Amino acid sequence: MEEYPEELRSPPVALVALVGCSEQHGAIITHLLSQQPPINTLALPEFAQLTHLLQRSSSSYSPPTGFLKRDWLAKHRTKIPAVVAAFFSWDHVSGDPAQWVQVCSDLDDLKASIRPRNTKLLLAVVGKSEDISEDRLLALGKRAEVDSKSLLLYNPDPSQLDNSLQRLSARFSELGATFYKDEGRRIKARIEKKNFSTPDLQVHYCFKVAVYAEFQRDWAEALRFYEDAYHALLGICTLLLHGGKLNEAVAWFRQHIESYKTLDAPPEVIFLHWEWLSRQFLVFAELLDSSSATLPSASSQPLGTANQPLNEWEFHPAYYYQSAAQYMKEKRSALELAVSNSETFNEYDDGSAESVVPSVYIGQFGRLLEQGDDSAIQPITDDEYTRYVIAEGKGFQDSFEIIALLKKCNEMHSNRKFQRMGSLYAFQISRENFSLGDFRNAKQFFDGVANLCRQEGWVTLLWEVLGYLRECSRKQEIFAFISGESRPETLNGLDLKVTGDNTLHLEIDLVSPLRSVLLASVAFHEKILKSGVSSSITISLLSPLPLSFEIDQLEVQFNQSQCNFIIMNAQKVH
Amino acid sequence: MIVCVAVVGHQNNPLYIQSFTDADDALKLHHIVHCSLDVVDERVNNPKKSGPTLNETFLGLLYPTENYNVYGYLTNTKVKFILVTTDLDVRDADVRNAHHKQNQHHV
Repeated sequence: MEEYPEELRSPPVALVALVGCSEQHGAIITHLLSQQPPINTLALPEFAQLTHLLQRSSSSYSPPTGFLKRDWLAKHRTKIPAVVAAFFSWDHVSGDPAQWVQVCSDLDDLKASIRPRNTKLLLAVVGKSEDISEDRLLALGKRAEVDSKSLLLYNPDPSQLDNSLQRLSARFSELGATFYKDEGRRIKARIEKKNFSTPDLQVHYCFKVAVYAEFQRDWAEALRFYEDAYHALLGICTLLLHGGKLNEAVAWFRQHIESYKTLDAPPEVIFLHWEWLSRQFLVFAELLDSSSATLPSASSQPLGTANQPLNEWEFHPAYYYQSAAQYMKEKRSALELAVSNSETFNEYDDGSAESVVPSVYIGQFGRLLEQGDDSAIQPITDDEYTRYVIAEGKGFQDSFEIIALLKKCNEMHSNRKFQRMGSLYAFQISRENFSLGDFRNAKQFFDGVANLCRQEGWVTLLWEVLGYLRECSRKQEIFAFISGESRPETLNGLDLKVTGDNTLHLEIDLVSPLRSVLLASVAFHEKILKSGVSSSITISLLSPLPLSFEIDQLEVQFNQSQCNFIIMNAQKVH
Repeated sequence: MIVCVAVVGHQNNPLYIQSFTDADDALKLHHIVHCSLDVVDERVNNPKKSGPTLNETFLGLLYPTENYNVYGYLTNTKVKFILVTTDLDVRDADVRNAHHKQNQHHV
């Protein structure tokens, strides 16, 4: 799952900032990272940098107009600290009045910049305890409006460093937990008061509360609010899987798919739904795949509840990869249909799709308008969006993604010694390669599949594969002819020889396993055929299946195609 | 609804296979039946995993696909009966009965 952003893969870690006395930062960062749970640190040498970091993009609050801003998760992990620790050297704190004024000014700026975000403040005075006067320290605490617990002495002397670091990290943990709890509580109050105008906003709030609960490592609360928000399926399943609750995660996913699998949508955009569905299966497959090492084996799990019995297959990632591939195929067909059905498709290529960009909120798009140095995002209509997604989808080659998914299924089944299932996916991979014109790769897999079908006598399946192999061979021959390569002489034990008279002789090795599945043979009753004289020819069809055949028409072909004819609706004689 | 019935020999060779859907689906169902033999093999070779179904001829639900459920039955002579249904919530007892009847006809 490495290709997904970090914020979708792992639970968040508290973020704190250090400002001032940068020579102390290195030891603190290392120490905080080694804690359990670890604490991430932003190290800022200058006070002004913090002010800049915490600045809000706009001073006036406007209600959210989407589910979640694209960068919200990443921002809270990497940019918005829960706690700011301001470090002052004792020399400055106890220095001349000018230095004290500077300390006070820095503190005032700091307070002003952290207030809008409710960031917690911690003061650390760097120096030796015996040098430090209690009065000045108290004055500093009063100026900063922090209680005595948030006013620490940081002694960098090697004999005292460990103690200082321990005190600092303990206080960071406490204040961090308080910050995330307060933030969660603040938003929860809006949910409880039902202080929102649209259901989107409820999702928006629930999701944020869940994320703040994750910062506090309160998985139960996070799960509860993710469930409320529901849309954040990945978060729910990740938490359940982290907690080893495989059954619940699988049941949740099944419920999710059942709720959203069928959708009434205009045919021209239904491919978006299939794509989304495929992605749901892919993400869950990857989650399950990456968690399986730490989870108990599926066979030891109770399989669901009475109302929702789960099959053991639902615990295997291959099951989900296979569905992801299936829905991706649906998407491809639906998109092809949308493109071919749209008679006015040329209109879609008018370049209007180029200026459509993702807007600030997740799942929304807008048109980027640029005038000089200024740019603005204008909302787009459903029709414009349809044009945009079809134009985007047209340039995307789904086959490669389908092949990647099928390869995953093939590998997983092969690893479980499920030879036939592996073979089925190999067959599907070959068909994709075939449709892409990659006949060499297609043939490689088809050969393996043909061998298995031949061994077990699955004639109908073998017949299908041989049909593809024949086409592969033909296409490769054409390619070889064009590129001047030599013609392949054999095909699966059949010697294929084309003589100078342009006739075709088919010689079958007596010990070839193909003999048992060769479906047709022709017998000539006379040694010589003369024109104008009737002659009897018998066509034998061999099938190991006890099924009767209905032959509606028989095509008779000659090497001069103008002589070909078809016998239709011949009366059956028993 | 039952969409495919198959009788498979002890060497996993098809003895009889009949589908009851459009011709387009026939090959797909052949593939499904063929794949289900992996699960039969696994159940037979790993008796611990099979649990309570071990001593039974009825092997239960072999595997689900998006649109079908596949059930299996193993006779004493290692002949397998495979049923493919479109109903995803069929009662085991019903499938078991269908297999028993199939076995009686086979005998």
